[in-house]
Formats: sequence, structure tokens, C-alpha cells
Amino acid sequence: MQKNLPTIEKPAIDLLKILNDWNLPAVTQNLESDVKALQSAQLNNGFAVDMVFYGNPDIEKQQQILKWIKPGENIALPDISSGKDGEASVSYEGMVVQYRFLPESMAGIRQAGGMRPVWLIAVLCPGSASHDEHLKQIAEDYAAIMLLNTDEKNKWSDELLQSVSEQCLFAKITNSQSGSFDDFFSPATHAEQNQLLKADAGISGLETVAKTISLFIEKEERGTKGKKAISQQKLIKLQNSGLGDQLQELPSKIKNLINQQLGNLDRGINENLVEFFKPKTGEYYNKAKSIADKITDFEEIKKSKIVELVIPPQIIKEFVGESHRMIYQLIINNLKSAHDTFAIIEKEIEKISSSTGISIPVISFRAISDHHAQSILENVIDIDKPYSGELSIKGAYEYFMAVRKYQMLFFMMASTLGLSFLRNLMVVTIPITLGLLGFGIYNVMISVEKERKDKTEKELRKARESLMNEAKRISTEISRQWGRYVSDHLRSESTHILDEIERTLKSISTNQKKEGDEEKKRLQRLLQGFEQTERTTELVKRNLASWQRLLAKTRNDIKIAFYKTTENPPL
Amino acid sequence: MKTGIDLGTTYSLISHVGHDGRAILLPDHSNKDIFATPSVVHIEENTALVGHLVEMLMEEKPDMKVLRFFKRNFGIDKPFFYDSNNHGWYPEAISALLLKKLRFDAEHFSGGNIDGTVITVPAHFNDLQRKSVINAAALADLPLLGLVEEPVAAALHYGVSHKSHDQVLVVYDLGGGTFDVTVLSLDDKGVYVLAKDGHTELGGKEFDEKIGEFIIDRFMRVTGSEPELNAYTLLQLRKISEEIKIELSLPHVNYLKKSVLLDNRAIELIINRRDFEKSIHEAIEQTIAITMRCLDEAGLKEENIDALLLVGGSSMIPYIRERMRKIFTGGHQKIFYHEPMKAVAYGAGIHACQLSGDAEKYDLPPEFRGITGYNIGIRTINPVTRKVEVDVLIKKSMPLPARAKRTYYTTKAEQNRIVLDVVQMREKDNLIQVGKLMVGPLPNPSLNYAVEVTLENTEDGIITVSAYDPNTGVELEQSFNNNPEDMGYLVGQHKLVQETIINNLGI
Repeated sequence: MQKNLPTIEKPAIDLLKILNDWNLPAVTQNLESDVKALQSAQLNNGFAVDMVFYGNPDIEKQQQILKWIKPGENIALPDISSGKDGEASVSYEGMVVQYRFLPESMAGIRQAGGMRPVWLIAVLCPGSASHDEHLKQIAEDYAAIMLLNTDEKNKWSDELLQSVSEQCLFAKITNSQSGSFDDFFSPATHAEQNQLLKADAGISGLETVAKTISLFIEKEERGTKGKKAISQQKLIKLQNSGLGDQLQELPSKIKNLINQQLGNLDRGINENLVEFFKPKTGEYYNKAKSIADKITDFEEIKKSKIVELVIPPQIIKEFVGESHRMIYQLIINNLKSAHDTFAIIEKEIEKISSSTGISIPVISFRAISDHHAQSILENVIDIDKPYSGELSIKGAYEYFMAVRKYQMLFFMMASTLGLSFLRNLMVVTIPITLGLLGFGIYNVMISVEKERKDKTEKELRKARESLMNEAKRISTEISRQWGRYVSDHLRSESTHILDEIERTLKSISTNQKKEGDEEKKRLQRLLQGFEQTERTTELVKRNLASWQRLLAKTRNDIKIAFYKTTENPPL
Repeated sequence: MKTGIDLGTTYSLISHVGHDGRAILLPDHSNKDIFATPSVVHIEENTALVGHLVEMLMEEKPDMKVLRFFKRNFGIDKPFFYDSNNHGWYPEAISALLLKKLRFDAEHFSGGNIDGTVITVPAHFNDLQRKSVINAAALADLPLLGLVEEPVAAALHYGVSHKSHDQVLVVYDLGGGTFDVTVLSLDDKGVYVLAKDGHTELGGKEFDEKIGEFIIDRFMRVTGSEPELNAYTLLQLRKISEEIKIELSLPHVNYLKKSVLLDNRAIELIINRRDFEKSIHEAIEQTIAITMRCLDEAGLKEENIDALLLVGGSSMIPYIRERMRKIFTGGHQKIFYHEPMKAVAYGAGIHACQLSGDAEKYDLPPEFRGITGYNIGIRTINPVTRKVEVDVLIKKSMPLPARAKRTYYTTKAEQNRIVLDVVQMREKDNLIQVGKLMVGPLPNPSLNYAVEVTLENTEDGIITVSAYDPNTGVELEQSFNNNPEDMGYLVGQHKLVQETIINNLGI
């Protein structure tokens, strides 16, 4: 390499420093490789050339062009007419030139970074249209441009040459029928110029790396902006969050809910009991009465002088059985209502939990015990004061004594009437006695029977009443014991649940505040990080802008140096 | 505050008419320089991101699921997306999130509350699609004043800003996702639609895709490999394609040189406008054909048109202007671009004013009269031929509101119910089912029991149906399974929308 000629070394080193300071491994590593590749390309002996075909060369023109590239060289051109591109390496006096053959549609399209082509050879063939504008677009990418005519009819214009000359170091129109490419860059003759052309191409390469950095910066900025916006909004939301208010209102909300529901349940159960056991209209009363009405006879236990009367056992059994069955059913219904109410409360609490976003622990009410209910039933449903009645047995003596009563009555009356002497007259006393005896027996028989009947009826009434009293006792006891048990249970559950919820909410509040504070700190740290990233990016942008000004200066130096070389000898 | 919303396939905007009678756009709450909200949504658990935030977040999460172009699914009765809790989101619900965000922006900027809004629809939207828009507003709890067709909104804005009188106008609206063409007459009394036509799946999106294909092709040829097409890369590709399309639309730009970053690799490109125009030529010619068909339907020729209004970002492509110049060759004809990306939103704000009775207050044209976009009728079986036919009650291009009656009869003595299939159609074989009207049980079923059906196409272009006893005038027991209130699936959608927090804003 010639000394004292401007090179891309300093700009390349400066750009590497910028990339190093930026330090985004995924991005900067690749770009650093690109810069280093450009540095090496400067030191290499060879360079790259883009040969762009405007229009389609026929076979004859292709042969001309190949000869112009280098006579005798074995190169195959790609099928340009079908939009294909191709490559070839050609050696000129030991210097390797890498050709890329391109149709117009692929010109100017390349991967950013990497070794830049130094030369553009624009080949004008028949069938091309509006090529000038396209060429002006791509001209600035090259250090030197050759406008190659292939026939007399289609020629590049001088205006175009003038225009592209302003964009590169060297431009010329020539034709493929005379001369060859190495007339323009011979390593021996044009060493300094070639070096400067390569340097200029290197500058173009560095510029595309800088453009790529700008694209990555834009991407970085967008990403940071987005993340920052999202974090800021999260922070605002946290700061304005009404979570604290919600937590404070929640216990009373839930308390009202529970009290209302359990209150309704308690009232409902008690009303149900009252209705069930209501005298005259209640279901239990009616059933007990219907069973009591079945007592139409007694079971008699004959004793020596009395007949003990008891209610037939099957009726007692029916009474106890039905009482048990009905009251148990009532209790089951109450338990179901309780269960449903608990489920409603649990669901409502769940709803409150999800609508407020506050995680209330799963609430489970303890069920009202069926076992306790059974125990109440067993204790209460029985015959507490069994009915017991009796009837006296009438023997002959009683009959006789009854008769004797009438006899005595007759003689008392006779005595009162002064007819007591009649007692001594057998003819009077015997028939009277027999007559009275007969009447007395008849009378006693009827009245004893009637008396017995009446007494039995009375006892039956007593027995029924006794059974109804049992029913009443059972009603009172069940209402009292079961009703109280339910109320106590609900009260205890309500207290237990509310205490649990309050404890939990307090803990949630404390945790959430703690988490909220931690989250706020985390977001604030994130935001600080984003701001730091923004500052770094801003610095990279500023450094890149300064670097680009220096790069422009280097390019200018190369231009001046190149023009100096053209004074002697001219190309 | 009354507002107008341009609910676009790719961008949405919101406007209202200020105290000075001019329509203004309301900006994004976080950036007063941004007026257009990208119609994109990302849904995650109980939160959603809407608009620019989605695109920003994609930088960090390239593979995140982004919902876009859901407007094209209006009228389709199935979810557009299932979230992580397996809840199905219908396009109406996703749009509702977008509407809520726009509402927030407007109320934040103005300090007022929206108590009525007009939402735009493409002119050729059918009944189901319009009802979807109405449902979207309901899901967002946005009080809806009515719908307005996009070309009409643009014409309103043009008419107001140019103080134009007695003109016949063609509005060529080529937006991001749809194409509409409308022929209208405009005077100081109002705006009257004469004919309309369009295509639901033709818009700038298709043009961007052509450019995207070009970029990927060149990328592969230059790098030797395909870019990884995750959601973020596709977003970048779409944005770059849109930028290129816009830049190629600038005057005197025939070639565009661009550095493109895709999949973390940069390539340099040159794009030729001629090649781009070639790639979209077929699509443009399709829009021209539709335009000519529309003129025909209005009974007009090119020379009868006073002005051509180009609306929608994609209408700025110079090739379209060139083609239009060749068609509308009369010297008096003017081709206008009047704020093509914003005109529809402005017009929607103006229409909101009209509907709330404030038109005169602001010196706006007071009246608007649209036309039916489809033939509407009942699908029946011809008793003689036994073939399925459509009994057209309301014809295409009738002024709105349009109403027609027809009497139908039972065919069996014991028939106590009549089921009528209401359909819309443009062409003979292209039937769109609107819904089923079920009339019954009939009070006294008998053979030839008469049922009078009234079909109405309202000012919003919505179809309503009712059935009466023609002898007594009493309304019969009936249900129409396409009334917005009857769409049971929307109950769940409302809950989904309400429980979703948008952009961490607490809305």
C-alpha cells in the first residue's frame, strides 16, 4: 500500500469504538465483523466489480463484453433476460477482481456491510428503457463508474456521465468493441488510484454500516419507548390503585352478606318450625291428631279388682314412628336450606373476590350436624308420660249391694209413712223384695254397663289427650332444642368466618402493600434502566453524527488525493 | 360531546366538531402528535393492549399474538380468537376494546364525556356486518347515534370544507382493508347517495403485501436465507412496506433507495415504481371496473361528474390518479385528495352533529339520504316449479329508509307457524342470509292463513322485519333471530370486555 494516502483506518477504528461503547452483543458483534472485513479488504490485493446489464445482450454482445472484461478468459454470463445474477473471478496481473453480473432489477440490492464493489460497469444493451434515473440512484454506491456502450444505436449520454461523475471519483463512457477493462485500473500503472478507489469504496461500506447502526438505534428506541410506556402506565395504575379502599370495604360488605343470608335462614327455619308444629293447622298436629283419633279402644290388663287400660302399642308405635319420620324430614329440609344458603354465600364471596381482584380464601361453612339432630330426635321423641287408666270390675256382691239399696230405700219410705210394720209381714216383704230385686238387677245391669261405657269413653278421651300432650311436648322441645341449635350454629359460623376473612384480608392488605411497594420500586428501577438506555442510545447517535462528519472529511481527502493522481498520468 | 369514529381496518381515528364548527381529530392520550390508532389488539389474561402500545411491546416480545384485520370478520358468527382461559372473542368484542380506547383518548383530551357517537362503515357492508358494528358499540357501552358510510363521511367533510354546492361527486375510497365507491349529489340542503359499490377484501393491505413479497425475495437472494417470519418481523415488514408505498406515491419518485432491517439483518434495496405499479395493476383495474359499474347504476356518464374525491391512504398512489385522469377527461373535472387519511373521521364527526340536531348551529348540510346497497327479500319455494327463489321486496339503490310489505300464506290447514328466510343479495347467486323470521304460533291456524310481513332497511342500513295479521293489524307472535338484542352470545362477550383492563389505564 502506498504511504501517506488517506485510508479508512481511522474512521474504521472510531466506528469500532462507538460499537464497543454501545455494546449490544447481538447487534454490535456482527457490525464489528463488517467493519473489520472492510479494513481487511483495503489490505487485500483484489477488489469487487458490479457489472449491471441494462437490457439483454445477445450472444454476439456477450462475447464482446467477455472479451472486454479480459480476452481469452473463460467466464460464463448468467441468463440476464430471466433476471438471474452470477459471479466470476478474473485475475489481472496477479490482482483478483471479483465480478458480480446483475440484471437491472438486482442492481443496488445487497447486504449491508461487507466488502463493497469499487467499480460499477453499466452495460447498455438493446431493449433497455429509462435506465438513466436508475443509474443515478445507484451511482453513489461506487467509487468508479464505467458506462459501457455495446453498439452505435444505444449510447450512454454525456449528461448522464456528468451527473454520475459528481457522485464518484471516476467515471467514463467507453464501448465494448475496443479496449478492455484493465486499461483503467492496471495494478502497475494505477496503483495509487486503485488504492484510493478502494478507500472510497471502503468509506461507502462504512456508511452502510453506520446506516445499519441507525436502523438498530431506531429499533432500540422504539423498544425502549414501548417498554417505558408500559412500565409508566403500570406505575401510574399502582399509584392510583383503589385496592386499599376496596380492602377496607370488603369485610363490612361480606359481613352484611353473611348476616343477611344467615339471618334469613334462621328466620326461615324458625318460621318453618312454627308452621309445622302449629296447633290445629300444622302438619305435625294434624298427623298426631289423626293417630290419636285412631285410639278407639284400649288394651286391657286385667287385675284383681280393676282393669288397667293402656293405649294399644301399635298406635304408640305409629305415633313415635311418624313423629320421628316427619320431624326428621323437617330437619333434613332445614339442613338442605342451610346447605344451599352456605353455597350461595360462598359463591357470592367468590364473585366479590373475582370482581375486586382480591384473593379471598376459599370459605367453607361447617355443615349443621345431622348427628346432633338425630340425638335431639332420640331424646325428645318418645312417650314421656304414658297414659294409664283403669276400670273397676263389678262382682256379684256389687250387684247385690245395689239391690239391697233399693230394698232399704223402700223400707225407709215405709217407716216414714208409719208403715214400718210391713217389714214384719212376710207376705209383703218377700214379693216386694223379689220385685225390687228383679228391678234392681235390671237397673244395675244397665247402669253398670252405661257407667262402664262412660268411663271407657272418658278414658279414651284422656288417652287421646295424653297422646296430643306428648305431641305438644315433642313440638315444644324440638322447636326449642333444634331451633336453638341452628341459631347457635349459624351465629358461631358467622363469627368464625368473618374473623377468618378479616384476618386474611389484613394479611392480604399488608402483603399487597408490601408487594405494591416492591413492584413500584422494581418499576422505578426499570424506568431508570430505560432512561439509562435512552441516554446511551442518545450518546451513540451523537457520536455517530460526529463520526459521519469526520467520515465526510476523509472522503473529501480521498477525493482530493485522487484528483491529484489524475494529473499525472491522466486516465 | 358528540364524536365520530372512523373504525378502520388498519387505523382508527376519532373526531368531533369544535365550537368553531370545524371538525378536529382527538389525539392519543399519551402523545398529542398521534391521531391514528393502529387497529391492533393484544389480549392477555384480563388485560389488553390496544394501538401503538402493541407495536411497541412487539419489540420485546416478537412472538406475541397480535389481533388485526378483525373488521374483515364482522358478520361472521364465530370467535376470531381464543384467549389463554379459552374464552372465545368475537370480532365485535375485540373492536369494543379499540372503541373504549378511542373513547378514553377523546374524553381525556377534551375533558368531556361522550354522550353520542357515529361510527363509520364501508358502504357495501351488509346487514350482518352493520349489526356487528352496532354490537361492538354496545359492548363498549358507547352510546351510538348511528352509522355512516365511509365515502359519505368523506363527502360530507369535502362539502363542508369546500363549501361546495350542487355537485355530483364520485368518492373513491381505497383504505387499508376495503374499497368503496359512491356516487353522490351534494348541495347546501344535504348529501344524497345515488349509487354505491365496493369490495370487502381489497385495500392497501394487499398492496403492502406485494411490496413485502418483493422485499423477502430480494432478502433471500442477497443473504441466501429466508428471514424468520415471527409476529415482530411481519410487523416490521408491514411498516416498511407501507412506508415504501407512501414514499413511492410522492411526486417525481420513480426509484426509491432504502435500507431495510429485517430479522436483525440489514439489506439495501432499490425499488422501482413501475414494477410496483405492475404488481398492483390488476387490483387497481378491479377498482376502476367497480367505479364504472357504480356510475352505470347511477345512470351517469363520466362527463356528468363534477369532482372525484380520492379517500384512504392507498388512493394516493399516483398510478390511480393517472388512471382516473384518463377516464375523467372533462376539463371541468377536478380530482381531489382532501386529507385522504383523515377525511372519513372528520366526516363522521360532522354527521354526529347532523344526527344530534346541531347541523344548522355549525352551518353544516342538514340532511343526508343514503340508499340500499343490496336487494333484500325473502327466500321462498316457487309453488309451481318447486325451485328456490328470492322474492325481492326492497331493491338495490332505493333511498333509505326503505320499506316494503308482502303477504304470505300458510300452505297446510294445521300449519301454525311460518318461517321466513330473509336474505340480501347483489348478484343472483351471491345470497347473504340475514336471519330467520319465525311467526307463530298463529292464533287460528288454517289453510291460507295470511301473514303480512313488513321489511325495512333503516337509515343505518340495518334490516328490520315484523309480521302482522293483515285483517286486524295486530302484531303476531314472532321472533327474528338476527336482532342485536337476540344475539345471546354477546352477553358473555360484554362480560369479557368489561372485565378486561385496557392499556393499564383502568378502562
